[in-house]
Amino acid sequence: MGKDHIQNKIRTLRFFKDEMTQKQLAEEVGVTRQTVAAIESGKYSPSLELAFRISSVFNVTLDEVFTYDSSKDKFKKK
Amino acid sequence: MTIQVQKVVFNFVTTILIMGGYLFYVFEIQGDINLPKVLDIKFWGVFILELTMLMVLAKIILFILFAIFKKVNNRNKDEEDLGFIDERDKLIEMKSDRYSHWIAMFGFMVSMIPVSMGYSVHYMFITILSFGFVSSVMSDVWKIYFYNKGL
Repeated sequence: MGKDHIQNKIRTLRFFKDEMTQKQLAEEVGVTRQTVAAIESGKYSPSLELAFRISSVFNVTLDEVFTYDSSKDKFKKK
Repeated sequence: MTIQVQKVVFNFVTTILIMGGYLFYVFEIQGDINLPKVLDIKFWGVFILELTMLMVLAKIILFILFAIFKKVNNRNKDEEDLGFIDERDKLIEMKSDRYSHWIAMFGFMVSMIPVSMGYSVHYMFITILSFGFVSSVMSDVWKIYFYNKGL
């Protein structure tokens, strides 16, 4: 059930932030470690609010954390 | 196994045990007394009310015991709070509850079939209770599925 059209660079950003752990990031943004793991592996797309919180932890813009590939999006406009 | 899945599995097991235990109590222990009463609407009214109260009370007590057990067992480990739920947990809960409500609603509609065909009222109650139980169990099964496979 992975969402291939939404990808993220959270793992890389955590690495460059002194190897920040998933648990540390989870505590900073107010979710469980499992949710961070699910976002990282593409099993869950976070809400806009959570996405902004994650980007603010790394001091980057939203599109530097999450990327959207419309060609892989299965959504068809009716 | 994550703490969220542990909670769901615990809920799944306790639902089966409480329901099984109560059915055993009513139909096996008091079977001789109660079997002729299945045709009585009052019996089913008392049955459902007692089962609901038992479920609520037993689940509260069992979850307190579960929380104490987890706290004592993991006192030296850095484990997440048992009561904490985030947006993903809420979404999984809503999605699995919605599916289980469909089963419950379907069960209610199915339970009207024996009534409309003129069968005894106890068939209706048995159908409602069976589908209610299945919907409750399936809610937990879907939660486990969503936690493992993703939303």
